[in-house]
Amino acid sequence: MSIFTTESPFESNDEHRLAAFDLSSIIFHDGLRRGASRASNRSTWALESSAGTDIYHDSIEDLHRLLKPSGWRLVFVDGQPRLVHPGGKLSFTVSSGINVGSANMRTPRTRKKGAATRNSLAAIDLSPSLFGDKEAETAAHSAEVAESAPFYLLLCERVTRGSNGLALEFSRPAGMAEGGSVNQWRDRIAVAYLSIEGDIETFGKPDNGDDEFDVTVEPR
Amino acid sequence: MFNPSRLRLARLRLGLSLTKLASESKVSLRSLTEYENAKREPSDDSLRKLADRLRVPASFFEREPIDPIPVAAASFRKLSKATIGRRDAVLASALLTLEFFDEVEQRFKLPTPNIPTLDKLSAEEAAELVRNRWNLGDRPISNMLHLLESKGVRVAALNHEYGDIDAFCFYRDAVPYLFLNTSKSAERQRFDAAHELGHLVLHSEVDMEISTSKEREAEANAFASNFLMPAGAVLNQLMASASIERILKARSFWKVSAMALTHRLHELNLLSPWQYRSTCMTLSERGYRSAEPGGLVPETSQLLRKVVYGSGASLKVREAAAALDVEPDEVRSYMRYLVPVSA
Repeated sequence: MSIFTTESPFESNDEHRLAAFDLSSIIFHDGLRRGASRASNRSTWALESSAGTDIYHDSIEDLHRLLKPSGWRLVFVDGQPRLVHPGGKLSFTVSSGINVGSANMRTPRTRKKGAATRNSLAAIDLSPSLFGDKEAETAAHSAEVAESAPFYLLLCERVTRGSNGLALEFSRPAGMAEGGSVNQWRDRIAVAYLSIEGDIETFGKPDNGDDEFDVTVEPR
Repeated sequence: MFNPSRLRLARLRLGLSLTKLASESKVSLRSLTEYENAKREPSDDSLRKLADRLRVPASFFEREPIDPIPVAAASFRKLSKATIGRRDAVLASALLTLEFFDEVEQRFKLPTPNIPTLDKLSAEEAAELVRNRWNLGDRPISNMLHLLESKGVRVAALNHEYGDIDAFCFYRDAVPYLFLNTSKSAERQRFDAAHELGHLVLHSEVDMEISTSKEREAEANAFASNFLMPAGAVLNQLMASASIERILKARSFWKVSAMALTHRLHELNLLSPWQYRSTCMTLSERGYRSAEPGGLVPETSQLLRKVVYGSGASLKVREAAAALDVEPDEVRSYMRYLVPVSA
């Protein structure tokens, strides 16, 4: 069931709020563009889940690549990959959703989520580290930070009517429906719409020119 | 000496029945029938009347006989009964165009025909193989007419009075000929040219019987679609669920009509049936079914331009007309919109 809001949940300074986390719409767009493009090349012969898988796998990879130089770490929590802020301000992962984005007054909802997200919404009792060496300790520390830091979802919804692209928002889950989908949020930050319609380099002038074929005609 | 087949040829090319020619030339139907059946020769007066009405000099009737183009040799879409007369007219005009190309060939060395015969392959496989053999990669075809001419196809315009016939092709003495309706949009002509190339590649060994034309036409369309818009490239252009604006950009890139591209996207499952229908409806509302707003300038013939305006030797329209015993306008009609002709 959709929950309606009469006022926009987003704020005019959302880009500043992202900046406070050392993030931005541009970073998200750069991380999501490849997967979104690949998803947009899927024909209806592909599995129904292929487009979502493209976005998920490519964006985790590309966001990791983009954020790693700034000290972000990729950590797995109950099998869920999360990017953890170098200062422990937050962790996040990518998730598909519906009713995503500022143009929609409905509350977004994810598909059924697994243990990692469920545990993040519950009170967390951290288990002691099983690792002894320094690297393992660091990994364990990152995992602890990932579990203890505020957990956000980079919500993506494919838009295939009108301007082809992704509706986005960066939101912190607050509660789940009985079926396991996240449908309550304690913080929602708007992320600019990612249009892949504007990606028209593929329609640039071909390099073969207008007249590459010579028809040889010689007087006898 | 009077040649009956020449009279019939001159009559058919204008789409005239014996009855109509009799009434318009003031030569009796009985006499006309006897002339065409070689029962007797026309008087000088009758010959002059017929020449006037048929827009040829009287000397035209004394030229050597020429083998007609069998209907089964040329690719035509299934035609209505009313169109069959127009088809015969188009074939008669084409026969005269062959004489024009004979004249050209006597003065110029033209590209040697090099069209592969791939009648054992599917249309999709054949289109891909032809692209490979001609080193076209998966780029847009920059100029379909020049490509075909460079591969030895002789391209001419078909009579514009017969707008319901888009194009046809056939082999004569191992030379491929393509006749295009050059009054259509550039994109339509390019597709027609690719469609006819499909016939040359896939169907050159079979008779073009009208009873089986539907399958052949579907194959030639599939060939054209694959040849002009190769699947591998289109599937890499973010065209899934493409918007109208994106389709219009892509059709300019591939140099095809918006409708042809939309159909191709549907073929490649990049548009769902619903999206396909709604896109077609929107394009139709915007005038893309009957025309191609913002489309290309039609392609022209490089071969004929070099023949008519070559820096060295050239063949002027009047010279060609005199050599063929036809009016200059007749020769101009073979090249209509393919090359600017006033010579």
